[in-house]
Amino acid sequence: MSEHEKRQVPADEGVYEMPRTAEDMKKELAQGTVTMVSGLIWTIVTIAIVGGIIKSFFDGTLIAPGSTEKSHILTLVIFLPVVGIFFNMIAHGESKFFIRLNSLVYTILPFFLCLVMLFGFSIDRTSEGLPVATDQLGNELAIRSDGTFNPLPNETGVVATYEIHDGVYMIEVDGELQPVESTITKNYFYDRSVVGMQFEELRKWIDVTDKPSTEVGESEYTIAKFQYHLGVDGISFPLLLLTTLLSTLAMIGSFNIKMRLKEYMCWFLLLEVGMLGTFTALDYLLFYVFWELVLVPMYFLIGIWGGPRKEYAALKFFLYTLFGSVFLLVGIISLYFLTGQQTFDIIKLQEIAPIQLGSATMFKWQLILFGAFFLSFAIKVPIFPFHTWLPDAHVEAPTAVSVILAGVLLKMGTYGLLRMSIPTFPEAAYVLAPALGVLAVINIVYGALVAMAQTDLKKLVAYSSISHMGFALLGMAAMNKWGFTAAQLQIINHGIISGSLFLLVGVLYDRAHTRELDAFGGLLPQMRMYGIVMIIASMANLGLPGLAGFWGEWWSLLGAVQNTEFYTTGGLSFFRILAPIALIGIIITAAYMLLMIRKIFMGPLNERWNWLTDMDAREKWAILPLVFLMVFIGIYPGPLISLFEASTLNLVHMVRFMAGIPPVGF
Amino acid sequence: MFFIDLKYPVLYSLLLPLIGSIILGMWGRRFGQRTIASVAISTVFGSFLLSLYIALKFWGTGDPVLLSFGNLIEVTGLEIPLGFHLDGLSVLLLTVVTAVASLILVYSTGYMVVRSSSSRFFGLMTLSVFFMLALILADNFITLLIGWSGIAVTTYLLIGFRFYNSDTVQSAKRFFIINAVSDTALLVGLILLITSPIALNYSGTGAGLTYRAVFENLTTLSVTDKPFLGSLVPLFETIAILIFIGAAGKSAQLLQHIWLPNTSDTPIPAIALMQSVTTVAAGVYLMARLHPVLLFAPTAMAIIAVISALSAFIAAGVALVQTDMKKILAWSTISQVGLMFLGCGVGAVAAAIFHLVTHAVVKSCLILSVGSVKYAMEGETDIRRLGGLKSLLPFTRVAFLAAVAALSGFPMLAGFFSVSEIFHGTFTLPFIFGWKWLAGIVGYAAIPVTAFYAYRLYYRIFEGEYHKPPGVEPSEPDLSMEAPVWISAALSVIGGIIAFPKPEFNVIDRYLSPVIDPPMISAIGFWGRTEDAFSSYFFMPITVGVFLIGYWVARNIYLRRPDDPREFKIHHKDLHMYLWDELRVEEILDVILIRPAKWIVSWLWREVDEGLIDRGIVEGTGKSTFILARMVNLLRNGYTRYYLLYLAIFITLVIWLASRQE
Repeated sequence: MSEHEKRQVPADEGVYEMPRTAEDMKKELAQGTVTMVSGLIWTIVTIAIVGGIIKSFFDGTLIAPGSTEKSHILTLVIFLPVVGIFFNMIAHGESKFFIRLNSLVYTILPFFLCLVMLFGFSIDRTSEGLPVATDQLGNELAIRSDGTFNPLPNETGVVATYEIHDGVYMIEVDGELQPVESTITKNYFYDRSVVGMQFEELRKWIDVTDKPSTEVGESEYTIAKFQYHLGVDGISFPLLLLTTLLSTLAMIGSFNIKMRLKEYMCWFLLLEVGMLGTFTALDYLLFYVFWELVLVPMYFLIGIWGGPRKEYAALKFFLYTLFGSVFLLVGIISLYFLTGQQTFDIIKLQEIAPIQLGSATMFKWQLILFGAFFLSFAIKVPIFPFHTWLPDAHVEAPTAVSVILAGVLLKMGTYGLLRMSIPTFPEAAYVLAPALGVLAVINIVYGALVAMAQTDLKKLVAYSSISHMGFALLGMAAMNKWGFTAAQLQIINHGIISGSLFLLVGVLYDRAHTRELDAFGGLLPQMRMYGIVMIIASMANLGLPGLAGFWGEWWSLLGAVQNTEFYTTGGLSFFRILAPIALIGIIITAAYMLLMIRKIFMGPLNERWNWLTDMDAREKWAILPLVFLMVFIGIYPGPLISLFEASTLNLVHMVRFMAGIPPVGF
Repeated sequence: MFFIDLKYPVLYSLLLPLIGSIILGMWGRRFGQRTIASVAISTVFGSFLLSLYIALKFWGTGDPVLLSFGNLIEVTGLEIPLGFHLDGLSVLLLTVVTAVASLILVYSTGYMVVRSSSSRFFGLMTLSVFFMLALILADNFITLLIGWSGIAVTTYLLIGFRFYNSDTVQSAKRFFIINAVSDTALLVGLILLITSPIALNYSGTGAGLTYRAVFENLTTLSVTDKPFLGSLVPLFETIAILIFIGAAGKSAQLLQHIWLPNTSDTPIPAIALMQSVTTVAAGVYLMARLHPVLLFAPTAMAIIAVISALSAFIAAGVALVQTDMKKILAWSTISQVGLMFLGCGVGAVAAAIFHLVTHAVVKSCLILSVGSVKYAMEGETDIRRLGGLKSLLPFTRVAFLAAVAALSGFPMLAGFFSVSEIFHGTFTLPFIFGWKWLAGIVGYAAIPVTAFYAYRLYYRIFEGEYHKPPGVEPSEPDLSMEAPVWISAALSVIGGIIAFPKPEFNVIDRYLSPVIDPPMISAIGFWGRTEDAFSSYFFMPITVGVFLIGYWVARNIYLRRPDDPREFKIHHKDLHMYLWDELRVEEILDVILIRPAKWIVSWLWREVDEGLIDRGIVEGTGKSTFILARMVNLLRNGYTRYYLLYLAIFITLVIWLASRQE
């Protein structure tokens, strides 16, 4: 620990000047110099980056539709925090304002870019929804999502003709044949009606090639192709938004970190890189790299800045998740060998694997691989009985990290199920759906029951997370459109709600340094704002209609009731029996959330806490956006659903088609 | 079109209370008492004026009107519209709720004037009114749920208004948990209804979840495809029972009633609001709104009717022996709402709503005047320590007596007409066969008991000897409290005329017939039955008769022989204690549910989660790895001879394996 740490005088013990020594002054001078220099560089680079983004936004190169080579917005989103890490590293450890500002800016920028992707500017579109571009001569073209295009008729109805040489469209310019260069003058934005990937980026990464010394010439055989492939669709884009939003808010929430701030911020930014990468990677190796990248910062964030049992919790989290990842890695490699397609591309394997592993003889491999993938994702979600790392990690982690854990990390598990397990092994997923449904209901009821027994506020919220992730799983298990919508809704809403709950718990813990429910009582009059926000968040958590939490539960129950495909007798079916059991979870949730409200805010005031103050401005700013979202989504979930509707619908149809089950009627 | 100009009046009448509560919530703490009260009253009263305008516009027209504001959710195959369902039922209740709520709010200005946190109080009251209006105006099952749960939350916060008192918080929590249970039942019921063929297949894709679409499908089916509808009847039975459980939770019907009588520390105006027009009325409204489904579930209807009649009777019995004024009125509400549910259960929905309207006025008058008594007596609510206030509170006394008479069925007052209507429906409508006799007779038995406890309350408070508590000078409260009591008393007296038998002036008939009759006719046609022909005049003398019994007994006992109750207490000790303990439902629930649940959750956490899974399996895996590592470590002992031995074993193994390959 540095000199400065030791000399810090607690604010409430009064202010007195430490004697200034020559050494002190020298240190201050050094700090000032470092801060000034790094601040200068920071200002220049940041202005350059922001300017570059704005410039490329307006000249249409930020998002280049149809061109996986040119587009680079996702790369920017993922790796902007790395710039922040760089500046944190060159900054002086004592210039806390600079570190906070830098970290905040480089977490807000990805969020801002996501908003650009969400809203953007509209461009001209054809009636099929394809973006319109122009070639060198000003003829209009409709760009397809794979980069090829359709010529469009001009005002007089004439369609420009192109010559095709080796599959490349050529056009005659000044008597010379040139390849067509299409330009879109305006950016386009996330398209809710598109089923496939958007903002795709595809670049070579590692080509493992083999040059056999054959007699005729030299031809390369690619053995394995790892690509730098990024893209978002309806399943990942909402999560991208959620991650960047929660990271920003958690960053605001972690401004009160005193110890080793610089290091903390670096780890935090690295964590964000890992999470964003996980949600956008479309190549298994890339995905795996990001997936594992998340673990390391998390380990240090819990292990250094955590509570009393931080080492234990960090190690448990790390080992447990790593244990799952090994199965994921084995699964990926087996998938590669079983399909024999020399590719690790998630999208391509999704098209090939269900067919190649669909035969009767290969079906057992589907089951095994589904199991391997599932185990890894189940630990992340977490699904009972792999959940015991979660309460420990949540309780010991610092507030902001708990927010990220509950809000984003758990979603990596469900995202993996939706992105990989279910589409790649649709038949296995369909066959195992009842089992998944049972696990989901166990999660819901068991999580709620155990939450009921908790006396530690944070642990209560942690177990409630387990319970609520069950609804997402129940939705997936229902294997119909409503269920998948439910899963996606529940994932987002739970991110918002549990994120805000953990932030709120942190607010109380920062003041009182205890989280024991029984220690509080009657705090409402002096923490008015806090109480109101906490009550809203609790109501959302217990699924009150009109707040965000309701929709996920409602749709997953709707999906479960609609599923009459397993073990049906008369009006009853497997899922129709599961749904009411899941509802018990909702009732218990109401019970423990109210217990919590009662013990903290109501009853006679515990005189021990008569000095507690309401939330300050920073805490309000960290939480109010989430409260706004809770109410907004609760009343008007339409915009959120429309973000992922096309993708989930497609996923359902694909899974049902591959599993050989007729599509449901709606 | 004629109704276009209703869109915005309806919207504003809904939003005004919300605006009021937002203003109070945001800036209320900076306002003075008067400003706070006037914001609340002006918004709710403005809403009342608008609803009066709507009601007048609506006079004489039949069909329901859908006012659409677009869609809440638009997903392939499922559209949740955002709009209002305006028909006689919603218009009538809109007017009544805003009117009674305005009265209660005016009363609150006097009652709450010395209390602190009045901005919170008025904010919650207006918010509660808003959610009730949202429930009434909802045009589909989702917005219905939003209003429904909003009422739950505001009621929770109102019951727990004095949150620094542990008992209060306990009763608020009790309400919310009972409500969570019943809401869950309702949720399942609605999901089953939404996913049933009448809502999905027959409306085609995207027809939405409006009541109108669903009920029209139902009505059409009952004519076009009887066998198919017949096959759906078991489903409707389930749905009806689940909806009943949901509604009964809010309306505090038997077994789910325990939250209502235990709201001892809740402000009186809040109690009045809850028991007359918001929380308790919401359940009845729900039953009335969904009655087209009930009509196709005869068994469920019979169950509902019988349980509700029993509820009415038993709750009245409990009210007999209680001594706390608020408790007596709470049990009275349970009993009266039981009668409304009886009406819904037998299909006499119009009568049930009529009773809801009269009861809202009567009960608010009763509770508010009890509030005046409590105010005058500085917090005394036990009738054993009251009495003889006749001369001290003359105005309150007259109002109270009028309301008591109206509640218990005094001829030509409000309650008399509506109760007679309910029993008219019970005995004539053909849906539940012979069960109607059971339900009707048990229900009728509640009337004399009601008369008895109502007059007992009156006699114990205003007649008899005056016990002067030390240091209390009871006097009439000021005008802001007196006026609402008087207005509601006057309405209790003349309220019956809204169902004046002459058709042109029969408000109930005018507004409700277009809503209630078409499904009823189609259901009667579907079941192929006929109504028994009794005139409604037939039941009025019976009501008078049973009322007179109760009234006469109460008068005899409490004016002439005040020692009789004590003898009853001695001779029927068990029964008295059972009723005194309010049926001991809570104790039973505690034994069979709460304690086992507490044990189970702590067992699950301590033994299963921490013990078995975490320490056993997870840490066990870790520990066994360590043990394995230590065992392997034993081999690494530093002696060269051991290493040579390992090498020899290894080489032997390799050679052996290689030789096996041959």
